[in-house]
Amino acid sequence: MRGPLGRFGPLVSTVVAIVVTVLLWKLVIAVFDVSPFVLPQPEKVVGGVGDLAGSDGFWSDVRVTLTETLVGFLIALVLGLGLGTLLGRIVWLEQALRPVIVASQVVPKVALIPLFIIWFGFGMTSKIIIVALLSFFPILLNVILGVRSVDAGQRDVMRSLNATRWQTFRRLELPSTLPYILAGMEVGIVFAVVGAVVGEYLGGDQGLGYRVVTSLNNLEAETLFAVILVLTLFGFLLYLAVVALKRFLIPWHDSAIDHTRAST
Amino acid sequence: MRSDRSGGTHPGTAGARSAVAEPDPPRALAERQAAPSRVSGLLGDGEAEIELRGVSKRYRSRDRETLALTGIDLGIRRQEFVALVGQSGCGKTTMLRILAGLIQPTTGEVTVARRPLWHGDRRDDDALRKLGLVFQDAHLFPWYTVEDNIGLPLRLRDTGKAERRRRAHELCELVGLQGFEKALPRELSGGMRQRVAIARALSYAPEILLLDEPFGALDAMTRDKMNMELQRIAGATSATVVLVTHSIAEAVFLADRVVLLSARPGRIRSITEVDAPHPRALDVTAEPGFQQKVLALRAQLAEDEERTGDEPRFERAGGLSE
Repeated sequence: MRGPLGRFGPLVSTVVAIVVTVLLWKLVIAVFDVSPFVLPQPEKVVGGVGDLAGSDGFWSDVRVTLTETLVGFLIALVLGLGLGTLLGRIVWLEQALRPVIVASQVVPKVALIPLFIIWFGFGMTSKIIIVALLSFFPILLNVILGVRSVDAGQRDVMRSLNATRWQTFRRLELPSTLPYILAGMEVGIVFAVVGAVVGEYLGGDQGLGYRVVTSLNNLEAETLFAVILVLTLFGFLLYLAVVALKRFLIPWHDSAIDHTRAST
Repeated sequence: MRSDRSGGTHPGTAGARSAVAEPDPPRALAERQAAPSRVSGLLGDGEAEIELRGVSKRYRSRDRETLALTGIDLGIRRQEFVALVGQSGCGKTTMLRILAGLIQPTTGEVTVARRPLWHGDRRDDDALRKLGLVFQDAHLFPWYTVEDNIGLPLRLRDTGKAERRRRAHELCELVGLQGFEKALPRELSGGMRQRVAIARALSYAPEILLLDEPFGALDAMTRDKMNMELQRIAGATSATVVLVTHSIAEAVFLADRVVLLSARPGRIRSITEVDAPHPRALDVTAEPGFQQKVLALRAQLAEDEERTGDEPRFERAGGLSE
């Protein structure tokens, strides 16, 4: 179903949301006479992003946070795929390990971050481990689900064709599991950014999260808002990358279909 | 070819036409309590393209055993159309899955073109290649186009892309899907998906087509149409066809022989020959001979359902003798 705005609907709503936010923002400042130390003017924040991008070591901070996020995420992906496939196939093992999995899920992992900093120092290693830990579980659980979800009837089709194990994996199991893997990645990448930033501001000496702490300590509200804006953009771009991967890998799947453009 | 064999003078079965296990009148009541005696559907030497000999299948779970099939003897001729009917739970799907090599029988032997289907726990690849299988649901792969779904069996056997395309195109024409080669399964209706499944089963030109209630999930109108199509396709490919269905009218309309299975344990209750030449038009169903056969089979089925009706299905405890 195509609305009156056609396929520009999402674009229009984004613009409207930004304009409304900025107007409300300015209204709050004007009505309550908010100090610029608490809430700077939106145009100052945009200017702050410009200053930030030109400031010393900004790009190296972006690189640090990006490295931590991506390396940690890749570790989580590899481990999640490996362990998820194993647990998905071996039901008794998954049942035996279920209490452990549930327990490690309900532990507020952010609370463990100081521990990792004590163990692995203030450098990138501790952040990579935090990122990996945070993004590991959504990937693991989705992979287990995906491996289990391979349709029994489709398996029969492959069996009746005397397909080899490899053929069954390549032609059936992998494509059936991909939507689940990508759903896990979609959640995982968001958690990865959270892990990197929280890790940096709890115990870091570089990175965008560290910038949040320093601008807070210096009471630079403008810079603080600018960093938040940059982090939002940062997380958004990574998320978009996963969505793009999804459109590329599973264009046939419902979750990858642009419903505003589908004809049925 | 197809209409030639309907003369009904096959040496192995000439006397066995409509070989119903008829009980003597005084014993009829007693017979109703016990399972009906079994009927052998074996053919003469070398006559059978597919043969089940002494086949039984026992399912074991932790606390009970179910005898799904027992003492199945059935031969099927080359290019014959055989329908398997019976109440649900009678083992007709199990029997088809045994024929397809998806289930290994507990006892007995299955041969396809005189080759045993099983060698120990391994299946005979040459025998499997002669079989094409269609399920109640199409079970298409949603990530493949119609063309790639049809070409899947060829792909698994390392056939080149150009050849797969050519064959898929040819089969799309045969099953009435020309122009849909590039469509994804999600864009097709139920009937069209089932056509793709049939085309996929036919892709490496199997000599035997096994269908497990292929149109069971379709509405009545589409179903009639697909049955006519099936008849046409069976003729065009000169394949041997084994069709599992719960519709007796459908079975009598399509088949050369209708095999009725009785339930608990599943065994062959009767084999009915239908002589009308192929292709059959829908008005065959109005002929008295046709209706007589349908009624007779329905009566047998009703009797079987009455005999087993008050037993919980699939829950017979262990200790059944074969």
